[in-house]
Amino acid sequence: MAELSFNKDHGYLEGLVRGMKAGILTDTDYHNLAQCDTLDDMKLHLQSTDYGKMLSSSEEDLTVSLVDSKLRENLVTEFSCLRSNALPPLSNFLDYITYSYMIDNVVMLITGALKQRDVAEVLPRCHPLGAFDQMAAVGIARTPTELYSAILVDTPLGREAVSDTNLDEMEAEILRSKLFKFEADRRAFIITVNSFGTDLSGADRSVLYPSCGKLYPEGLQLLARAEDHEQVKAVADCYPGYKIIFDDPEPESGCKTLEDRFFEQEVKLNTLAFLQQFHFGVFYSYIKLKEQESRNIVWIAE
Amino acid sequence: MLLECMMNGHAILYTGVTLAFWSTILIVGTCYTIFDLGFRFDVAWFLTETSPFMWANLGIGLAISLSVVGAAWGIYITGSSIIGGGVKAPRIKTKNLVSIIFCEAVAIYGIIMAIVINMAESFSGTTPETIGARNYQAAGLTVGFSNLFCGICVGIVGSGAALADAQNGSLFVKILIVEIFGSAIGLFGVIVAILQTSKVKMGD
Repeated sequence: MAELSFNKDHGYLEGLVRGMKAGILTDTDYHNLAQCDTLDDMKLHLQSTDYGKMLSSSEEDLTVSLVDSKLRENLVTEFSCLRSNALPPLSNFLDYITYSYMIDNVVMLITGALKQRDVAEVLPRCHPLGAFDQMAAVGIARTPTELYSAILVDTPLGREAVSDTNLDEMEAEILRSKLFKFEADRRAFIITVNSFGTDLSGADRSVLYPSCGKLYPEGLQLLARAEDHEQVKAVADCYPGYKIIFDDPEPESGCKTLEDRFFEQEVKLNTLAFLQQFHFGVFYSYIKLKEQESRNIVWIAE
Repeated sequence: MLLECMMNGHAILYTGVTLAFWSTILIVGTCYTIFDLGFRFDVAWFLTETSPFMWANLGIGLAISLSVVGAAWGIYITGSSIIGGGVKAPRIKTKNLVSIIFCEAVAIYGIIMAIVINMAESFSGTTPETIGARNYQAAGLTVGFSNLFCGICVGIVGSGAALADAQNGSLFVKILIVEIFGSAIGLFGVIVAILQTSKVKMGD
């Protein structure tokens, strides 16, 4: 029965998001971009897509980081256009999307504070989608408890996930893991693979695992005990979706890293979200696809 | 603790109203039974003593109001999608007005039926035993409900048509065929209602 009342509040925004999704770069665009030799060439090609005059409006030298920040700015403009027109419950949903960026920003600020770096230095590096009002004030706090009681308790994060007992670097991974399902599984795998060389024991690792996703709970217990790549592969074989990702690549096609394969799978799932009308998944998928597009463009530019 | 279970105002309102309604009915029914006043609850008296013209006019009212609700529902569902899709693909704006016209047709069926019942009803009859009036009410109900659902159906399909047209222009005509079939069910309601009213005789 969702279709009976969905359009009353969210019909316009859904139409808008689908229109914006139609403007995402296609195969031919990527082909053209890949054949460019310089950044100016790329700028020319990008002008004919939805990006338009965005890149040409700046007079500074064209560097890859400038392109990256402009793309990000574009995404933030579109997102704030959606968010400002949204009614609850869509506005709550869009806020949840920003929380993951907020958590990343908070962690970055905390590590910057711990290393005695100036706040003004760290602030520009924060992701703009995760900006919240009290960000600049984070630099004033000296201890994590002060940080929590003064600032974070006012933000939406303070209400949801953070408490002053778990504001250190390890726990930030737990916070990150609390949010998404496929991403949760993905993080579990990445945490495992990345922890092989470090001192994290199996018990420590199992604390970092998220508590949702297809791997919960049996897969996570198996992963906690895995000690090398072969054992991780054995765990992945039990789940058909993940088996394909872990299969050995053919030697001719070139080696794709694990991260790349996860990205591919994520893009596939995100495009599937557009096949149904009258639900919020299209907004989340659009943001993720736009991000992937920015990553692609930056990768081509380098 | 009870207040924590109900999280927003809507839930409290709906549960409160439902509770009040059912408790009133329960208490009134119990009182009637206890005090042996059950004879007062007389359905037959109600049906025979009310004027037949009430039923006929009720039919007219239902015909037009339910049809308009259906048409309006359909139009807002389609309209918001057309506006949203039209931002990035302005070419869909004019073509998709056809969906809105299909929804509007549903309201027109309703008004046609209302006028037909109105004209057919002759005010000369004075005897109360006219079962014809119930036919008018039934005709109104028929056309009203069928147009309600037809309007909603055409609206949802029209919304899909607008969004698909924004992505790929060749899809519009194909989805329009689905919409035509959806619109036909409103027509069925009108046909049946006309049949119902055609054999009614009010009064002597």
